[in-house]
Amino acid sequence: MIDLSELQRDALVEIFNIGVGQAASSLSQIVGEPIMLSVPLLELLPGGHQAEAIGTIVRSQRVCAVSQDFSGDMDARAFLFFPEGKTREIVRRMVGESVSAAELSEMEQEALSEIGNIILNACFSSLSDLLHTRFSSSLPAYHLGMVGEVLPTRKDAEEELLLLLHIDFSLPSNEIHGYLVFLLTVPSFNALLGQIDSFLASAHGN
Amino acid sequence: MATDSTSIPLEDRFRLSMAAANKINGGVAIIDGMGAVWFWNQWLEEKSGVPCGTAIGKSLPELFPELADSRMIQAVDGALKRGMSALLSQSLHKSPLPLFERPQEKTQRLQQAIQVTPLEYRDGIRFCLVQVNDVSIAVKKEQLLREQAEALRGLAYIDSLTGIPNRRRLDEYLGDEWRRAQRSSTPLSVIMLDVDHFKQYNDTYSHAEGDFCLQRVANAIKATLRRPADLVARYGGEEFSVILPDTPANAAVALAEDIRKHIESLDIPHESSEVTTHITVSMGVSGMSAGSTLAAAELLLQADSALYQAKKGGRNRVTLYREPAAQQ
Repeated sequence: MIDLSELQRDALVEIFNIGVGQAASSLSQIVGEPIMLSVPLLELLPGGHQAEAIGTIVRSQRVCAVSQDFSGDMDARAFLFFPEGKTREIVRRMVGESVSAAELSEMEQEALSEIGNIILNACFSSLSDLLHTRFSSSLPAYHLGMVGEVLPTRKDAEEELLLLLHIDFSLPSNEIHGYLVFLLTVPSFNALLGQIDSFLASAHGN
Repeated sequence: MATDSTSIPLEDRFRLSMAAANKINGGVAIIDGMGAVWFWNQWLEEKSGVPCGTAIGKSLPELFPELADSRMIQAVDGALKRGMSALLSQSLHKSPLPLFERPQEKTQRLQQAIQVTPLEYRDGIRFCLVQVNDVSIAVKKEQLLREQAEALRGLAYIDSLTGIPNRRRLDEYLGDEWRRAQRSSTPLSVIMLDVDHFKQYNDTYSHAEGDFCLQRVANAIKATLRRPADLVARYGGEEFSVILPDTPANAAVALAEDIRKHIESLDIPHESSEVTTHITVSMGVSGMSAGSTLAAAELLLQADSALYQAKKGGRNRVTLYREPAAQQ
């Protein structure tokens, strides 16, 4: 089983924290309120039983998610998701309107898509800047449903890995815990590891 | 003469594609690797008032100085430099570009949803595609739906007999105000009110008269409240509750006394009352001082128990809840 060394893990957590830090400052600028984002924890999960594994971690089977496909030096599908009820809180805080309906309206879904877009792009920009990789990303897509529907298990699931990042969303007087998931193929993950290693080597070499 | 699409020469295909992009009912711009406009369609010309000939070769901030450092420019930068696609939603940015239905008049800016996607050109150079959709109509429709939903929601919170908030609204409001009191460390008081010998009133004067009496009592309470944040609700039957945010118990008792006097002054005849010859009310008051951690439900229970004391003590009076220990 592929795993991360402690150094590699630390490097990734740091890279993602730089990314979400940038996203937080963009979001604060948009809503005019201080917003803080941090990635305290990173887990590597084998492909295959992701729905169960993530359902247990999130403690909610129904989730709201924004996804984007990243392709280039490595290919990944990235998701930002929250337990369904929490999403309404976030959108309500960001858009500044009371969201009375049980489900997000189309406009609110789009707002959430943009929030996800900013966070996911910032993470990959940070990866691309620090690891000197090239990506391009698709437009964000909004999903609502059971974890298993949002994160479908592929037939060749053993060829896939999940990088799960916990992300803390701090809004004034509100703390919301969300998750970032990167679905990577094994070759892509190996490419990522290689890039982290050369990043670490150059960081230590200098 | 039928034209076989596969036989169209390459340069004609290019010309047709450009013509199509030009005619699309939505904004289409292509920005080159240096950030300069390379394509600017007819829709953008019409809505921005900037002709294609002027736009070509200029950067977006050169065309629209207000865009400097905006999320729009960051999105274009992210697409050109890093290959990132971006979405600008209408809810978070009302109107990113200065586009108008009639740009000469510059009255109402169009509400927009914008998508920015990188286009791989060659040798590591990227262009980017900017798509603009006018979502003004969708926004209006959604606003209308929201207003209707809110009106319906309002109805679900109103007591149909008295027109004041109902028990459901009371519970929600008490919860909201309780949380606010916790957050801002302010006092919060609750009054429970009961019409004295109301069953006898109904038996003597009919249920229709009873309903009318409750409406008058509800109006009298509402008229006595002074601040917009004070809320009176029909708790059930002939019971009413008043929520008084940012009000300590002694002020709530004074207000309750005003309500009691006001209702007595209505002078609604009640021959079968054991208190006097007109309608009177009994009230229980409970207050939560600033910084108290008393639960919201407990506050209501205390007011109810004070109401019970008021009735036991002879009715037509206001009683403040006291801790059992203090009562001894």
